[in-house]
Amino acid sequence: MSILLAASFRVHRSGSRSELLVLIEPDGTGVFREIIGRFNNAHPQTPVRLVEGPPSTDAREDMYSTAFLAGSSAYDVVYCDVIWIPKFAAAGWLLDLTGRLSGADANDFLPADLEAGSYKGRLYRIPAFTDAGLLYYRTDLVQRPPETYQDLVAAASRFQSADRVGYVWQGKQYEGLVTNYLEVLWGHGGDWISPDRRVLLDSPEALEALRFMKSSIDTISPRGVSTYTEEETRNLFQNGRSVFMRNWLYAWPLLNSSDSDVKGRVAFIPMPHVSGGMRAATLGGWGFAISRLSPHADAAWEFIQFATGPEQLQELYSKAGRIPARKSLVPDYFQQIVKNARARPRIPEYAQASDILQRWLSAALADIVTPEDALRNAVRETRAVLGE
Amino acid sequence: MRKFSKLVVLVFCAVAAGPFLWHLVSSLKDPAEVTQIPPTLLPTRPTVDNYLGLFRQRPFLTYCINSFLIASLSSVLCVVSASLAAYPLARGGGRMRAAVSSALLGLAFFPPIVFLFPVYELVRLLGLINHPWGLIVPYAAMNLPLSIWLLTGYFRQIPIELEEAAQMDGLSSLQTFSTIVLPLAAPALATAAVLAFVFAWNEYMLALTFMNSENARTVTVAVATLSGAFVYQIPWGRIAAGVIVSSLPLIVLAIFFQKKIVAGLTAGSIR
Amino acid sequence: MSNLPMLRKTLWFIPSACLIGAVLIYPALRTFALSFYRTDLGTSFHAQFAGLGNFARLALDSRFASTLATTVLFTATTVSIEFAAGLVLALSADTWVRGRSAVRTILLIPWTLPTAVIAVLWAWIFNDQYGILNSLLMRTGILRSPISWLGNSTAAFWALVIADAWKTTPFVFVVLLAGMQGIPDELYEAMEIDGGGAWHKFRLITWPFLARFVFVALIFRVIQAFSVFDLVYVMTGGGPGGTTETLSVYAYQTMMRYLDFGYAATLATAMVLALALAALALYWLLLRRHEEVL
Repeated sequence: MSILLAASFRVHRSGSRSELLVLIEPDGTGVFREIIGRFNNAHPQTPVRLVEGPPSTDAREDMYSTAFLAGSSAYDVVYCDVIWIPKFAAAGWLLDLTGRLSGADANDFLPADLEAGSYKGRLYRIPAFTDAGLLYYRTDLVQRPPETYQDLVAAASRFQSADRVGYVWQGKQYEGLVTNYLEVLWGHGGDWISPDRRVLLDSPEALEALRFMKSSIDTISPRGVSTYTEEETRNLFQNGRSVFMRNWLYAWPLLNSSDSDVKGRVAFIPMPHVSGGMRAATLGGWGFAISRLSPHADAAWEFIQFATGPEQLQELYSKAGRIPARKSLVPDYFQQIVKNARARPRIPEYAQASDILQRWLSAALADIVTPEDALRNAVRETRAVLGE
Repeated sequence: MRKFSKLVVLVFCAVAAGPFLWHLVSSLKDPAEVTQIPPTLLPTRPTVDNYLGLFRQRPFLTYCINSFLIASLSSVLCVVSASLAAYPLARGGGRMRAAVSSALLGLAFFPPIVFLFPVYELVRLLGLINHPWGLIVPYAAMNLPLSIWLLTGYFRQIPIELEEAAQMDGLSSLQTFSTIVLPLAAPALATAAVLAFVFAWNEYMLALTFMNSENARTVTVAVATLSGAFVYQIPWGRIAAGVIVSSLPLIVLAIFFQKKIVAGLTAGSIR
Repeated sequence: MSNLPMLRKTLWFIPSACLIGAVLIYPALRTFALSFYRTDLGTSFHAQFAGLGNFARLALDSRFASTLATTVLFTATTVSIEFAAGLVLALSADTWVRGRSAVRTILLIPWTLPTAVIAVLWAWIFNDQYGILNSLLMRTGILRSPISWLGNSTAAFWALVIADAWKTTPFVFVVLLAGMQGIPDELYEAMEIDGGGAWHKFRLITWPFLARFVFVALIFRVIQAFSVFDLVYVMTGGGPGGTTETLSVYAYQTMMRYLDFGYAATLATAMVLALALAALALYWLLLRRHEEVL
């Protein structure tokens, strides 16, 4: 009994660690481990320890949140998605990194990615990789790539056949659906939430955009798109079973790999638009921030500079296909897409607003409610969350 | 009729034991066999690698120690506090007993999520996040209503004459309680302690929220998050081994204390 | 003991009172109070009095409506199934299992295992690729192609129900068996002399005697099923598409993921109110008519 008591007070003393902890996605290619290994050789006093978290982005966001909320410095370096920044920054969990970048770095990192890593004018996240949505198409079928959504529908209907669908995209109820919808919405000239926190989904453009997505199902898109995520669509397209595909930059090297059926017969363009709208891509990407509770902020900053340095980012691009968030390293053919990338609303309540939109978009696509009702409900619930 | 009843009971036994045995078998298979389609019923090449991997690659021993510490200490804290409160309740007036009992019963109507955030705030305030005592105290308290109820009922069955005699001999009420009443109530104390231990070992929501550093996790939370920790090769053999390791102490308890557990579960309905 | 001075008597209650006060009563009151405040990222976690604002939001929140529906459906389904299975098992076991503690131990084991671990255990059984269930169904020819149990909303709901029933039927069984074993055999014998059949015995003797046990078992099960968190959070995460999300999971997400503590408190308060109503309904249904038994 007294042994138990003694043990219960003893086990917890691990506060004197000098390691820097960072939680990342499962390191499938091992490239993160290599880079961290190199850093640790150079910095034996403050080595970085990699904690491989679950593959789900939401799950890792929650792991960081609970650690921060507890006021513990469980993680020093925060490897974070663009959409986490407003929440983490508003909660006061991240160290302000404004002014820390050298002039050369500040000019080299992509402006949209720096912007997305900022909240209320202060910089919290140093970008590492960028990503953006785009339209892939088959060059052996489509001669003139579509400019507008009407063109897309026309070309997709023309080239689809019994064993080939016209257009695949990500319609499952998850964050990917929101990014798909935003591209169509921006292409129609609408917007979701304005910078001054007004919900704009009660516009005719918002309805048009949703109607377009819904009408594509069973005409140019298979019924299954409402359950697809990135990989399902990529597999279909890569096996030559679709004319068009909306996906991220990451698919490009894979579509051109030796085991791809469409190798050499595929190209991409920015997402279409209608008159009055603009071609737009949703900005994605990952970067590094520092926990405000970390006792090793200086060492963490050293690590971030190292990890986001040109050499390391280039290595991550060649080994894991992640697009570096540096102008000097973005491959030429991606420049145009990356320039058009738009960030999702930068509000602390992003997760909540996105969950609401996902639910209603999905309900509309599944024919549970009409597009009108879906958007009306989404507007009402989002306004309640934003306290409008 | 009798035969049919036996058949029903046996079917239920098979259903109760089947899934668990399936995991026991799977935990002894090598990675290739565990994902084989169709699955094999018995391991063709039995191996304990899954168990070794669990303890080598992840701090599973630490998880088990954490769980054991938390469950035993919260169980002790709960039974000690409960018996102290139950004794005066059992020997006191009926009106007070009725009032306290219904108040305790009322607490059972609150889903644990109701307590979560304020308790979290308190634990954080005391700096007990990631500390065993951050769970020991809440677990003990969450078990108290049931334990007090159970012990009050049992103490009332102990004849009061013994205590009266002891007090004549000049023993204080605390002495009477500890030397006369507690030994007589040993079976009920064991029941309460076993139930509190099972509860604490099994609890997930508080453990998930309060213990966020790798070394502070309990085994239940560790097993539940195991599936996410390796991608590209779903480690089903490891997960099966984790299921077995985290369940084993409870199965041992169930085997040795089956009667006590049943007594505890039914105490609510037999007054 | 009974003639101790009041002051010394209260000393005995101090440990319990402190624990219950700090971990149960104060938190419940705080959650109730918090449900009238806005405390979220927008207010920088400062509590701003919001009157009934959160409750107005609740009334219009479609996610609350759908998680409430899921929770009620889950509660009703699991409790009915566990009750039916537990009763059949208890009736079958009544005379036969009395002395056989091995059988009782086997039947009890699922109840003692951690729910979160059970969720992992069943998730593997329901796995579409490597799960034993699909494999068995396909080998016996019932299924032609594997079902993605946890990827389809109806199947995922039933997967949760099965896992929950597996864990908690033993509890219902144990309580009902205890009730049956308290019924004097003479009553049955008397009934046999009067020529009553099995149904009459059940209807006129077993059931009235059991009513209080049924009530206790049901109340505990309803509370637990209504509060279900571990099983859903670990096995389906509320998916696919939020269709298996229950109130506890929604409240937990609102708290730990959205950091919207005021609204999370409102959700928790709404759960307590709903449970109180359900308990009253159960009491009225089951016990009012059997008051003479109590």
